[in-house]
Amino acid sequence: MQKIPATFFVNGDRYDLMIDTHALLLEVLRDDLGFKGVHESCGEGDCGACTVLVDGVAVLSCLTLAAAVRGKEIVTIEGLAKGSDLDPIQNAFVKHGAIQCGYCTPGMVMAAKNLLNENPHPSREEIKKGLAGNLCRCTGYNKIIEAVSDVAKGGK
Amino acid sequence: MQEELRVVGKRVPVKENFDKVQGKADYCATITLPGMLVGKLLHSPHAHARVVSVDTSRAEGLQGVKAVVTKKDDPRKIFTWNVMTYQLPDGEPQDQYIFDDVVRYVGEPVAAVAAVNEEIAKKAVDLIEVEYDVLPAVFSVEDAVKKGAPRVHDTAENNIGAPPTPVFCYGDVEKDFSESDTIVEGVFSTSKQSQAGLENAGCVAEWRNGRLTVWSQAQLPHMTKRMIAQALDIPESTVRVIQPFAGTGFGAGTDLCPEPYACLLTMKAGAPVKVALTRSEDLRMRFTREHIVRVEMKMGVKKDGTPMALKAKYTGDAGAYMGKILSGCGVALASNITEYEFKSMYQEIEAIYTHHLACGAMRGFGGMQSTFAREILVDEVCEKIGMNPIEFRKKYHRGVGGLGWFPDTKISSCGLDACLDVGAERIGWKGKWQGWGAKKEGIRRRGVGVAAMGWLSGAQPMLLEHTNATLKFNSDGTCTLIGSPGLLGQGVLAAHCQIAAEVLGIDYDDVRPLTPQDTDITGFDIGTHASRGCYCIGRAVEKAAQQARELFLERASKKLGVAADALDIKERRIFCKDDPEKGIEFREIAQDTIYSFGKDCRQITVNATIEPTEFAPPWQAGFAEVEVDTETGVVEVIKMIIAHDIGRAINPTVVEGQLEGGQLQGIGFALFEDIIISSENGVNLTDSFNKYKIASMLDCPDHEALLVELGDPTGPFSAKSCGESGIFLQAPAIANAIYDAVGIRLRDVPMTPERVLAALKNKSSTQTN
Ligand code: FES
Ligand code: FES
Repeated sequence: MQKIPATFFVNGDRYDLMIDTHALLLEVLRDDLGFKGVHESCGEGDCGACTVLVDGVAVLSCLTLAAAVRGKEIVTIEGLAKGSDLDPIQNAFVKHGAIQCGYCTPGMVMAAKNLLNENPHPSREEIKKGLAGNLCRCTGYNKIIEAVSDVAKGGK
Repeated sequence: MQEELRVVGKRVPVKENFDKVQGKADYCATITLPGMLVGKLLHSPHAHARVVSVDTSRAEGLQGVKAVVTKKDDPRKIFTWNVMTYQLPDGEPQDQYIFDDVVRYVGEPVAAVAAVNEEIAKKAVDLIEVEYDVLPAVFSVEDAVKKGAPRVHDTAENNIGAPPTPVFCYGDVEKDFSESDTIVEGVFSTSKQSQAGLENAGCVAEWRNGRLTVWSQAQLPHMTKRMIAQALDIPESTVRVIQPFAGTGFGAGTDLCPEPYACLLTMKAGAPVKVALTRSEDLRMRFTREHIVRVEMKMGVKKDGTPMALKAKYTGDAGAYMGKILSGCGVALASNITEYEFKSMYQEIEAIYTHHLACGAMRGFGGMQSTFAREILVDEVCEKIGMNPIEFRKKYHRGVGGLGWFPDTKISSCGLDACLDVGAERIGWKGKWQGWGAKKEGIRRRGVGVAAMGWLSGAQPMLLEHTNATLKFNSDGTCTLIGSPGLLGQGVLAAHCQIAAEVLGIDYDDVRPLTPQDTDITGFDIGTHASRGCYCIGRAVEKAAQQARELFLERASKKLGVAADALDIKERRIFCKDDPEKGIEFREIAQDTIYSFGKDCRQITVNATIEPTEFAPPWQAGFAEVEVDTETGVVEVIKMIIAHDIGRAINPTVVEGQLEGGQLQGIGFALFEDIIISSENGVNLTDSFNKYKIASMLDCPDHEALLVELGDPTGPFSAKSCGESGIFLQAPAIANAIYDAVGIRLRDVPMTPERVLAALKNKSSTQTN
C-alpha cells in the first residue's frame, strides 16, 4: 500500500496528511479527518448519500479518488453552518420536515446547495431532476422539494 | 374537540433533526470507539450445503487479525433473529444458530473476522478455507412441497413450516356463498420487498469487564437484548443495547442481523468490533418483508352488494428460517377482518421453507398482501353488480363497535367515509371515473382507481404491548423524556414531547427526549412496530405526564394554600382556576423540589406503564390516477392521493411525512420493487440500488396525504397511528386504475411493463377468439 502526501482545504481549514494512493475521498474525509456527516450507503454511485462539494461542485465522494482532488476546496455538511447559524437550506429542511432517519440528509442538503448555486430559482421539475441522484427512503420527497422551493423563493 | 391546545397539533420541528441536518447525529455507521476493530463476514456461495470444515489457520496467521469465529465459537443455543417472538406467550418458531452445520441460503454467514482495518479483515476472510458438501436446493414453495424435494430443515417434513391452519373464522361460509348472488375469486402473488433503508445493516459490539454493549439499529431494543443473551448463552443483564440514530427501519430493526457475529467477535477479540454490511450484503442478508407469496381469495355478495362470505388462504415463503412468516400471514388474515362486514369468513395460513433468504417484517406487515387481493376483488364485485366502488366501500365497511382485527376487539372510531369523500374530491373522481366499461381510446390511456383499508395502532391484544415512559424533572422546570421507541426517524419523539408538554402546561422546548436510547436507562418497552409509537407509547407518556402534573399541583397547593384540584397549569404557570392572578411559576416549584431548604427535597421522576387493550384502527382511502402505455406496458402514476383517518394529528408535519414516505414505498411495491433470487442457484440478482430500484425523485408523482381528524376516544389526545398506513393502498388502487384505463386485471405485484403487456396481449387474444 503506497502512501502519498496530500493537502485538502476542508470547510475552510487546511489539512496535510499522508493518504493511500487508492483511498476514496469518502474514506479520507470520514475516517482520516473525522467528518462523519459524510455518509456511505451504496458505495458505488447509486444513492448520493456521500455527496460533498469540491470547488463548489457536487461530487460523489464514494467514487472520487482522494488523490485526484488534492489541493482543492472541499465542503462537507459540517461546513455549511456559520458557527451556530444554520444555512438557509438546513433551516428549511428542519422546518418542512424534510428529514426522517436523516441518513440521506447530508448528501441531499449538499446536492440541494449545488442545485441552488447553479439555478437559484428552480421549478419543481428542475428540483426533481437536480436531486434525482440522491435517494431518500423515508420522506416520499414532497417535503424535500418543498424545503428547496422555499429557499429558492427566499424563505428562511 | 375539547379546549384549545397549545402544543398538540402544532407543526413544531423534530428536535433531533437539528443534529441530523448538520451531520452531527451518530448512527451505527458513524460510531467509532477507541481500539475498534473492523468485522467482516464470510458468506456461503451455496444455497444449500453441509459445512464440512472451516480452516481459519491462514486467516488467523495474518498480521492484524484479532479474532476469527466459526461454528466452534457458537454456544449452539437455538434462537431466531426475530426478536418479536417474545411478544407471544408461546413465541414464534426458533430455528437458527449463529453458525450452523448447514447453510440454507446464498449469503448465510459461515465465519467472521475482526482485524485492525478493513483491508486486512477482507484479506483474512479470503484466506478462510471452507469445505462444502453441496446439496440440492429448492427455490419455490411449489417445488418445496413436492415429494422427494430437498429438505431445508431435517425436522420439517415436506418443508412444511406450518400446515394450512384456519384462524379466527366465523359463520358458515359455504352456506353464505350458496346464498350469494355474485362470487369473485382470484389467486394473487406479491413480492419480497426489501426495507432498503439507506444506512446498511450494521452494529458495534464491545465486550468489556464481563458486559456486552451493543450499538444496534434495533427497533425493539429490550427484546433485542434478551435475544442476544439467549443466543450467546449469557445472562440477560450482561447485555446492554444502545440505539443511536438508525438510518433504516420500516421493520428492518425488528430482526437481528449482524449483531450475533459482532458479539462473538468482540468476546473473542476483547476489543470493540464494528460489523457494517455493504449495500450488497444488506440486500442479500437482511431479512426482507414477510413474503406472502400467494393469496387465494374468494368473496360472495348479494345483488345490492351486501357482503356475504369471504374465504382466503395465505401462503408464506418462509425462506431458510421461519423468521416472521407466520405472524406475517397471521396479520394478513386478521387485518382482513377489520374492513368489511362479511357475514362469514374462513381464512387459513400456511408457511413453507425454501432456500431463499428468510423474511422479517416491513411496513404494512401482512396487511399489504390481503389488502391487495381484497380491494381488487371488491372492485370486480362492484363491476358485476353495477355499483360505484366508492359507494360499496362506504356502505359496507365496519363501523364503531364492530368487530376488529382480533376476536372480541371492537372498533373505537372510524373516519373512512370522510376519507373517501375528501380523497374522491381531491383526485377529481366525479369527472374522471366514467362508470364501468367506459370506452378508452389511444395508445396512452388514463384511468382512476380506489381502495380502502382499516389498520391498527399497535398489535394488542394479539401481542404483548407493554410500554413505559419516564419523565425526570430538572430544577428549572424542564424535563427529560426517557422512553425507548427506537430512533428510526419516525418523528414520534416530537409527538411524545408535545403530549407531555400539553398535559403539563409547559412548552415543547421544556421536554427533551433522551437520545441515544440505552436499555440500562430506559424502562422496558416493546419498541417500534405495528404503528404503535404514538398511540401506545404516547399513552404511557400522557399517563406519566398526568402523574407528574399531580405532583406539581400538590406541591403548589401547599405553597399557595389552595386545594390542588382548584389549580391549573398553563404556559409554565400554576394558577388558581377561580383567581388566575394568584399563582406561581412552574419553574419555582421545580426549583423547590431540588433545592428545598425546608427538608422537603424530592427528585420528581415519574414512570408510567401501559398495556393498551384497544387497537384504535386508523382508516384510509387511496385514489390513483394512472396512464397506461399500451405499446410499452409502462404504467405512469399521474396522481396518488391517500386520505388518512388519524384521529388527531399530534404533529401534522410528522404525520404527513410518515404517510408520504409510505406512499412512495407503496408505489415501489406496486410497480417496481422486487428482490429477484435466481431459481437456478439461489443467488440474489438484485443486490444493489442499481438493480433493486427504490423510488428516486423522478419516480415521485404528484402525490399527497390528506388528514382526517375526527378523534378516537382511546388515543392520546384522540390520536391514532400513521406509521404503516401510508403504504397499503397504492398497489390495489393502481391495479384498479389500470383496469379502468385498459381493462386488464393484474393479480401480481410488482405490476411491471412485462406483466402489463402480457395481460394486454392475453386480453386481445381472448377477445378475438
Ligand atoms: S455512497 Fe456514494 S453514491 Fe451511494
Ligand atoms: S430521511 Fe431517511 S433516507 Fe432520507
